[in-house]
Amino acid sequence: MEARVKTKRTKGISDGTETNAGRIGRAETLSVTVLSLISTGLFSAFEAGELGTGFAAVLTRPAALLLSLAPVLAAALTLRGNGETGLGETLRMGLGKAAPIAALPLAFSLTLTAALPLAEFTGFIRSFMFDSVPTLSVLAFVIPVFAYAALAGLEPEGRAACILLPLAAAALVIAILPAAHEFEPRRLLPFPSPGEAAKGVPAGVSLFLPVLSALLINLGGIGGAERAGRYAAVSAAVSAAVIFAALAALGLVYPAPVLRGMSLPLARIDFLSIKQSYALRLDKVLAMVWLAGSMLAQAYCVYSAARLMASSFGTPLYGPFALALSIAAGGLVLACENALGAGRAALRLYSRAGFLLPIPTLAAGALSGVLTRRKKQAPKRTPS
Amino acid sequence: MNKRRAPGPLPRLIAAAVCLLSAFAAGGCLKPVSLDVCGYVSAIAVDEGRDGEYYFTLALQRELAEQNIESEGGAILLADSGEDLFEAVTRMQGSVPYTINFTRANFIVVSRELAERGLLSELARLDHDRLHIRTSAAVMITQCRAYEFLGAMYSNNDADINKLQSALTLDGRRTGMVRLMPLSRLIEAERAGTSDFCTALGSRDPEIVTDMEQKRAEAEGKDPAENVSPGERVGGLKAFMTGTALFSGARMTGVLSRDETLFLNLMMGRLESGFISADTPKGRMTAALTNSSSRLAVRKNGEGLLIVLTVRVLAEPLSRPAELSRKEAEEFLQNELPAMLAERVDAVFAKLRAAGCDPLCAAAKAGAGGREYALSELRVTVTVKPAA
Amino acid sequence: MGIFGRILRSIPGFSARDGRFELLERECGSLENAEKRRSEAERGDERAPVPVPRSVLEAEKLLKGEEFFGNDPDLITREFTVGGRLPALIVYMNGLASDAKINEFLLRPLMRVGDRELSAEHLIESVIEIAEVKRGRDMDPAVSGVLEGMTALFFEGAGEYLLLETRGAEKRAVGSAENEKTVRGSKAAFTEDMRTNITLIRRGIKKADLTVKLLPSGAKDGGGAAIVYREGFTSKALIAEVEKRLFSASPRITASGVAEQLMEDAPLMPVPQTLVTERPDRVVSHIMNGRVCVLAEGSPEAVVVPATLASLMNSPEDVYLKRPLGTLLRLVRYVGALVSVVLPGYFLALALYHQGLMTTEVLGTVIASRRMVFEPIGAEMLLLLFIFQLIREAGLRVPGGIGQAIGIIGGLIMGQAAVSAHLASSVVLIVVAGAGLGNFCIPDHSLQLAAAYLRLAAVAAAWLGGLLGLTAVFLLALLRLAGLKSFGMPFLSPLAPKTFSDRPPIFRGPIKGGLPSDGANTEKDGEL
Repeated sequence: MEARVKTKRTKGISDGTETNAGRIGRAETLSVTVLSLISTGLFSAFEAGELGTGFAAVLTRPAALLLSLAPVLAAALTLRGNGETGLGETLRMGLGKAAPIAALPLAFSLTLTAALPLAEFTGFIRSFMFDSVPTLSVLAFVIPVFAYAALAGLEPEGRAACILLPLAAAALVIAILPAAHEFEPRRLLPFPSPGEAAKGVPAGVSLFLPVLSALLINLGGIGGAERAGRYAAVSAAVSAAVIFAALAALGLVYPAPVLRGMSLPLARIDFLSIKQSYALRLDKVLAMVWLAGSMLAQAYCVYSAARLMASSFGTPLYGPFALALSIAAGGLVLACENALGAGRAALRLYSRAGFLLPIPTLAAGALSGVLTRRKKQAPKRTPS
Repeated sequence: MNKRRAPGPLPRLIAAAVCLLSAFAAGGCLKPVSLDVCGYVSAIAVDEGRDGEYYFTLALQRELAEQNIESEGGAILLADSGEDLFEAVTRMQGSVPYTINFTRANFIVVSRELAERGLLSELARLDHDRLHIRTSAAVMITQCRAYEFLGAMYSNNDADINKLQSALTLDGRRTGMVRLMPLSRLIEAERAGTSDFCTALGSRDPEIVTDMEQKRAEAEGKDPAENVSPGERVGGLKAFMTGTALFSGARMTGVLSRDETLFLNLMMGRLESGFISADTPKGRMTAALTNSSSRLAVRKNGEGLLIVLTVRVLAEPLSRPAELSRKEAEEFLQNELPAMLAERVDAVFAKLRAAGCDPLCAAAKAGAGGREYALSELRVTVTVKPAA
Repeated sequence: MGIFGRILRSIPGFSARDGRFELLERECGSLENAEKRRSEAERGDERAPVPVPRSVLEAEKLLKGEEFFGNDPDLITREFTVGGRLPALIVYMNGLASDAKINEFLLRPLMRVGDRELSAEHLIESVIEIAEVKRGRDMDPAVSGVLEGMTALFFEGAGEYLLLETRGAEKRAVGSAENEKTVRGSKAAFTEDMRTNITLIRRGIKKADLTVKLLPSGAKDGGGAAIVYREGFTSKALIAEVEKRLFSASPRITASGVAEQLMEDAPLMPVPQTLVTERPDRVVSHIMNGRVCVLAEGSPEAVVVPATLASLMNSPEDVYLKRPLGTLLRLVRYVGALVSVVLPGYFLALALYHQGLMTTEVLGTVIASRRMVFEPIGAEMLLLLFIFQLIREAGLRVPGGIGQAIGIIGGLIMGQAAVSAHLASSVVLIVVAGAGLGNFCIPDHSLQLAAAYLRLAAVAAAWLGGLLGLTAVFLLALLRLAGLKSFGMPFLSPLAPKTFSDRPPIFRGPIKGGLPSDGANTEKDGEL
């Protein structure tokens, strides 16, 4: 594939060399990132530290999201001088054949982050929406679509996110507003102390850091490291606000001990109202809207992981990686749902220490970026 | 030399379609059940059964098309015993030609004796998702046997029993004398332990002449009020709400009357609409109370708690003696009524305290327990503002 | 722009033009290549030019030979003398050329000429009373011209011919649009004659930059096509790409449908990626917005590219109404389309899996209506959808009043009979009818059919998986549509991606002061 470098686009005659294949604009990038962050933040199961003393997740998750910005912005700074070369390509240029090893931790993190909200949805769907059907039956519908989304590439994901994000946001408002008259501040008690709250932050960072890092993987598609930094900041701020508001609403309706045993509590936020009109019985429909948004968002994470691995191997063919990682995500969901002891133990470990996983990849990428900055080598464009 | 052409899009599409269909087929069925082969449970009643079992009664909505016959009731009642609801439903399912479906269950009625024994904690711990019982279903306690209450509730041949149930809850909100709570509140009380549950209490009077009985009597040429004693209620349902059941933890420990329930709602800032009669120097007047709100502050006071409650409510005179002008009535409401309300609220709080029921979550707010609550003191300030 | 937009734009780096969409990503053709392909096509098939014989008899013999017309009975050749002195020959096609023009303005003046000088220049300047005259020395263009209704005039000893404009074939008058009816607005529709269609477009765009480029048609192949655009305004890359796809076409373009299928990015996709219309006013509007129109001889439709979902869903009538009314109509249209696609599947999902979402009244009504119906509800739904399509097709194919009657008879009587015979329930019938009506709200015929496909897929998915299946199908469809492009323009723009002068497709823009959509990436700004 002939290398093409983006030049400053001016109105006028196209010379046919510029191309926008595999690129998305500002609205799409923000939409897909915000959707990913919000779905991860709202629909991943709460870890013990987040529900230990009061509903600490109201504070810990938004704080963890903002905290996750720091390593991403730092890495973006170091990647600035390399044009639109993504993290995978930078690793390849800097580390050569060792690049896949450096890329693996972040790719694994992304896949696990993708699986967590899906596991929550799957549990809700099989027990609440259907008559205790096997997890595999639910995954038979979810994974093929999820895999298709991951294979489709950045452009369809970004554009579909532009459409799904307002729908998901509207669904959130429709769910929360009728419950407003049941809000009682006493349900947030007891407020966790700073020390207790801090226990939940690593779990949050484990969730959000990989998602924000996906921006660095897709630098070629979003317009460079400088834009990636801005997008990360804006989407983190917006998502943190939405996650805080939604979790606060949830905490005002259900106290932490009740939330412990509940799958997808946001879908049940209207269950305090006895008067059940048709509008208040839309919980399943709203859950499906969120599922669609979540599937797309998590597919973006898997796509990013696939791009990272493919670029680190020096190939533009991310398809096989995307397919494999989608199936792996499905396997992870199956493991969580079947309550295998190993599966749950692994999840607990991830929530405590998983935030460390992306760090080696980001560090290696930053180092490679600094080392290769002055190289004259034309970056290889790998269109989606 | 033959050049190999890349396969066109059609084979890929076919392959994708085959994979998709295989995935759906391999995943297995999601157990569809057509809506016309289901019986929709509208209410569940729980009584004590024999040999330590429970007696469950289910009220199923009859098809609307059948509502042209003059039989009593818009519901079919199914009942059987079991150690828990799952077992009872399994037994019932074997003898009915439809699938029992709980997705429209809106009422759970428990007999008083079971409530006093602490059954509600078992109810809270049920896997509601499994049965598809929404936790917005209302829970209420009955003085009589629960299945009798159910039969009495559906004794008027109403076509749509869900509408009937909605009407009951709406009436409760209009009068302020009914406090119907959802199952989710019970679960919250059970799991969080920071507030106590209290919900509507009902009963049944088999002597009441229902609308259906009146129609039947008229059709036979008889006087519908033939056997009615003076002062008795005529018409409506045989079932009615008598007040509120108070719980301490999972056990029912006390009762409030309908009038006292109004003040309970007032205390909790949940009075949307209600009526009160008061004696003025110039005669008796009736006022409407609406839109109450309350604010609670709690602090430890020696071994007990000091609960400071501020209540605000809007009032409007509805009927007054001829000698009392509207202005005087409003002044009475603003100046004299607050003290009367405060006194009644105090009396209700005394009952709550005696029953060990803390719906205000006062103890939790102060970081205290039931012992401190039992020694608590209430200071209530009521402010009445004109509704107009 | 709202306050949020202003705040966002004040953040450094978030300029108004950041992330502006650019047309034609992978498909943009190089201009040099387009020029080369065009000139190759204009040369026609790779064959040496056939010189015009000096003798008119030889010319006649050549034309009637196997190489050209053979024994075609419609070919008329007439020998005569110019001014009684110079032998000449006219050749034309019976039915395509106008006899009256030939007699009045060609034969009579030439036969009666009394001038001394009988050169071609003199005859053109002073004798022949026809406006358009071309000269040539190669037989192939003469043959092409005769096939289009022109008359070729040969002179003895000249070694060249004159091609004279005598077109006069019978053609349909400009009528009203049959498939795109509107209450307000122009009623004119395209005809089968390409020249008439070009004229209709020119009447709507009185700008000098309006360019019509004829694509060549073969000597014997017939057909012919033209692309219409605004030179200097329409994106050059777009023009180049259209030409590239059409020039490389084999066989030649004989109908608008052929052109459409040649140009589409994803021909197997049910959703159309070109806009086909029979209305000149619609074409005018799109050309003014920087799109390209393709016309084909013999087809009373124009193909406009690129097409987006918004352009397919817009009706030409919207512009004739006030903004709130136009917006309301569009809203109804989109809601109708949504109902058409979603309602049957949603109802089936609720009926089979999620009965709790229905109110008790609806539940009771549906249960009562399904009493004695023996089929499963999913099969009943599919059967009724199939019957609806049958009635629709039958109504379209049967002419005139009978077609309307079939729609009424089929809808009312068959539906009633089906309910009485317990083949279907009245509630499901209403759902299917509602979906059918919603389908007719979609202005584009191809899009209607695509919506019917999606509806079928939704019903199948709902039968298998309830709301989960429905969600999976719609997400798949959304992803596919989001990835679809028409000549590099994303199908879902201006919604996704958001283009610069975006307004949600539901809200009709102002007549005055609005910005044109930048999705077509025109060469100039600010044109409306």
